[in-house]
Amino acid sequence: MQTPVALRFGVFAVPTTGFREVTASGAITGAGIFSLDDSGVGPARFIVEYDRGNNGRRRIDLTIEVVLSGPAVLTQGGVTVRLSRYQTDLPGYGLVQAGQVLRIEIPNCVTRVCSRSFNLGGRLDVDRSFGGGLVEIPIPVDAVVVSTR
Amino acid sequence: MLALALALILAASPAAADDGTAANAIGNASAGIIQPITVEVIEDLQFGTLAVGPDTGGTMTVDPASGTTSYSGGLVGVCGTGGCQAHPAVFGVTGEPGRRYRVDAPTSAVAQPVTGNGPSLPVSDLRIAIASLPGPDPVGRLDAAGKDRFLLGGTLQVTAGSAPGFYRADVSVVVTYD
Repeated sequence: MQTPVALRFGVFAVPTTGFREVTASGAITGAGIFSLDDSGVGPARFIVEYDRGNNGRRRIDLTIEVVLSGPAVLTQGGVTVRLSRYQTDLPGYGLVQAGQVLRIEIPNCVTRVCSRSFNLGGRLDVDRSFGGGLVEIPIPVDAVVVSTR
Repeated sequence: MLALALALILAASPAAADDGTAANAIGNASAGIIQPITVEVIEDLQFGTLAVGPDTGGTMTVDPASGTTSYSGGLVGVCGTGGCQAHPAVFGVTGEPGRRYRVDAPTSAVAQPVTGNGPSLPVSDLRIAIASLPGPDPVGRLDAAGKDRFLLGGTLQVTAGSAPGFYRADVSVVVTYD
């Protein structure tokens, strides 16, 4: 299993208003900001993992639905950030809306644990009136198995 | 930056793998947002009032670290107590507390006559002195209030017989987070 990571926008200065966008592939764009260091900037990595609960080797074709929560807004001191424009590297789900159902197929699962990973990018809009700091925005994710054939 | 380990684990019961098994998790998006760095001129670099002989030019140096002045050749300072004393330029820097910053400045400039018909006067050996991080590198560190200062000095070269006048050189200084 790969080590999952957070969606990292890096460290940057914002005079008043700006945004930074990190795509699922790690491309970085932005406006109104001054980046200090792009190292470590990158998309989040999620792993959807299914454990059949036994060591049976019967083939299972899994369908799992994943839903990302609504865009989050966070105010911290004189800084307000808003997370939006979720984007993934899942086929057919390049740009996804909050609340949209992502259908993930895991075919031919013949081991106890089968998994599927995907990258998640997004856009962070920042309004700064004073100060700064490290901001962390939660991204609640729900997943449900809809088919195990 | 914080890294987050996240896995949505959909575990079926040991007996059967049922549809409808659900899981949830909370990922994170993180960013370090800092205030922009700014620089302002508090005092200009001042070479004072000078006199040069008709046959011998000279130089005058303002040391940025100590503020002392030195002369060579036929150049002398003739400033009295009227506020025309030579001194380094002083710049104020404001930004994110505790962060390092770097100063980029040219090493030379050319002073042009603002009044009179004198020649251009070279200004060389422009140097930066930063009290917060003394050393050869033009790097400083903002204090707990997000402030710091640095000084700029240099050497003015005056050719013999230069016409009286007021001379001025513009020097662009850029400050960035290191």
